[in-house]
Amino acid sequence: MKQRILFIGLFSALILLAGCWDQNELEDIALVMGMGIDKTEDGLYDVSFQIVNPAQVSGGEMSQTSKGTAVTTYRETGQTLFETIRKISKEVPRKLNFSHMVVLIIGESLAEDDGLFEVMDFTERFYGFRSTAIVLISKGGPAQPILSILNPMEKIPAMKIQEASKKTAEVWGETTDQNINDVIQTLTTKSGGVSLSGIALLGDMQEGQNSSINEQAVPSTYIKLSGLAILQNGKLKGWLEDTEARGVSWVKNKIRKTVVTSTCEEEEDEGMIAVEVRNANTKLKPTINEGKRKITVNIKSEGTLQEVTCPLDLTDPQVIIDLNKQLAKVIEEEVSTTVKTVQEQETDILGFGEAMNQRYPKEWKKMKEEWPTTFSEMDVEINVDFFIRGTGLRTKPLILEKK
Amino acid sequence: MEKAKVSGWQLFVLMLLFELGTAIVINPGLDAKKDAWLAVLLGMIIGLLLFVVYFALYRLYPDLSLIGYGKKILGKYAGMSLGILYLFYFLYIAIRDLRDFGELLTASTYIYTPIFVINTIMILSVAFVLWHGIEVLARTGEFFFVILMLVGVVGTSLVLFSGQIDINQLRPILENGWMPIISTLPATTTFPFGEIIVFTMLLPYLNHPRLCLKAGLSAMSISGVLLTWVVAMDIAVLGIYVASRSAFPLLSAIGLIDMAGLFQRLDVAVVLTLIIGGFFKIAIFFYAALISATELFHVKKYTSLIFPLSIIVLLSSMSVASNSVDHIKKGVELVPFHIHLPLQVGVPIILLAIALIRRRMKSH
Repeated sequence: MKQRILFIGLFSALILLAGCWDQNELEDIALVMGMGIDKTEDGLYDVSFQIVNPAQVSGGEMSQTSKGTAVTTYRETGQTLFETIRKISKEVPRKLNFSHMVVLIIGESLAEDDGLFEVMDFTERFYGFRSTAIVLISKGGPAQPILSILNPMEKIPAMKIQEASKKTAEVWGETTDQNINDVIQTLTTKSGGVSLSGIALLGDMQEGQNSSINEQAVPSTYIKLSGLAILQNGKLKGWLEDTEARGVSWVKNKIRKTVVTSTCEEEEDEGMIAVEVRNANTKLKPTINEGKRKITVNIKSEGTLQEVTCPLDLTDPQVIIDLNKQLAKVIEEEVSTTVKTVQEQETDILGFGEAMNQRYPKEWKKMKEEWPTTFSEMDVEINVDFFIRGTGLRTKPLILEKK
Repeated sequence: MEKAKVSGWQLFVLMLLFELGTAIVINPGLDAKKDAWLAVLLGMIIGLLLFVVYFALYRLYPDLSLIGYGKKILGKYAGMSLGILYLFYFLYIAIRDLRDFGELLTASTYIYTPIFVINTIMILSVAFVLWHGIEVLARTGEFFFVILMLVGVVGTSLVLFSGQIDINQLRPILENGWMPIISTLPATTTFPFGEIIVFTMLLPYLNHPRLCLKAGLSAMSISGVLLTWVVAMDIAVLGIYVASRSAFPLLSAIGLIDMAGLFQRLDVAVVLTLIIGGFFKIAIFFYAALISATELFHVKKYTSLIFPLSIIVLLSSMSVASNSVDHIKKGVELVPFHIHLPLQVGVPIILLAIALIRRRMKSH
């Protein structure tokens, strides 16, 4: 008898064990893939959500026949971010679910005026967020239009942004695909500088929002990763462009693969060479000599020749040695331009402060108060070694055969 | 009470699960910033010394529990009051652990489930296992030990291979000197290592008590090394500024795993760890409280106390703190210094000293 009562008691516990309070039925949730945060003129948050239309992305016959868009972008304003997430229920018939969110775009003017600290608190506190979403700053405009542009290659535009950012970081090195956690980590380091990739809208916004854009072979409107935002104490201070942005990756040892282009030797107009850098390793070496602070950036990299348009005899090892030096010089110039620009901004996004802290913890405590000025005035020495490991599938370039 | 059949291996497993318990998810010692792992490691070493003290007392009175030899050493009335003190101690920590467990689950996964429901289910399962005795708890421990180790190995290797660890986050070592480490030592020694004092209530009822020194020392050192590793890993993954603000650093660290888009969203592994660890922590403290009450008030069978004490633990876990902030504040400030330190360190050392002096006086 006792056992039977116990059995019934435990069995009824099973009903509770299913966790009825936290159930989330699949047909009740709306998957948010991307989120954009702007601010209105009245100081309210203007948040846009890119939400998947399940019928359009599911496999099978349905996706073949229907013509709607794969995502819909909704927007809502509110005094706090969390408020907008719940208030949007007035428009969206389902409950927002953020666990598959891949991008978080922060409006340029919001980053400039208010900074990231206020926004990022919610992203790390709220249980529904995952800190694996990448963070970008919209360049030259608010975040909302960027989230609403459709594109033919990926049905879900947010996924396109994520993939583009990952691929760029992998083969070109200009962006640094930082996720929410990375951003919060760098925000809280005491040297204070954060760099974030930018994303820009090119073309007409109205057109890009229509699903007919996917029928154009040359899309008239598209979004593109562009530049690197420099933030000091969470606030946007300026932008680095193209190779200047890549210089940051060189210093921070984030280059996985990239392409370096150079003229052949010193002579101009003789043609160009392009190498694919496949291995790069950067070490920062801080020194303090009689109170003078200095950072030595040692870069070691190697790669393969992929394109040669100048008449060089590539079978001659001496030519390769000369090219090595030439390429090292190009990289050194690229990095030193970046370092100078960043020093002018008085914002340490290069991790020099952390390197100082690790090497000279005691001295760091004294210098960290006026670090931005120290950083902008300190000596930086850049040493680059480059090694060509191969010349691709051919030896002598085609141009030598041109008569 | 009959001697329970618990092998040395089972005792080791119980102690290990008990030590890892909730500590592996909450991470003690983060007040020492980047050197938190060092604080945990030193805490373990002091904890091992404490365990030797407990074992010395046990060697003097092999048939008695902490409360039993407390009475012998201090006399009837003082011993009785000390026993009641320890009864409340075990009960209070069981209550706090239950609340910890509920707070963790409601903050991380069961957002909308009332904490009362979660605590009820937990205390029900604890009561059920203890109803069948410590032997069943030990066998349950063996089973969950395997699961926990599997989860641990898979989880940590995924963290390693997904390249989230940045060893520079741990440097420089001793950034602020030894002071921050020394000031967190009371906390890391008492939680979780000093809590092994509950086993002084269990040892006399086991059939292989001789193995307890070996089991205890190895369980404490292994769990200490594991905790050190987890704390260091969490800091290396999250950075100290994020880790020290996280309610559950391990949950945040594991959440970052993304191996080729295939192995990701492994938070559930942490929740599993938490449920397993929480269960054994609560069960063992609760069991110690049950035995204390049985010994103090001469109850025939401890099973008759399970129901009333379960109700007390459950209801108190709801009223022990008004919100999670209050609960954590008490756990950080009140409990280690005013409760753990005197009862884990002060009283046992005094007892041992008195016992040794008496013995010497007798022999002369």
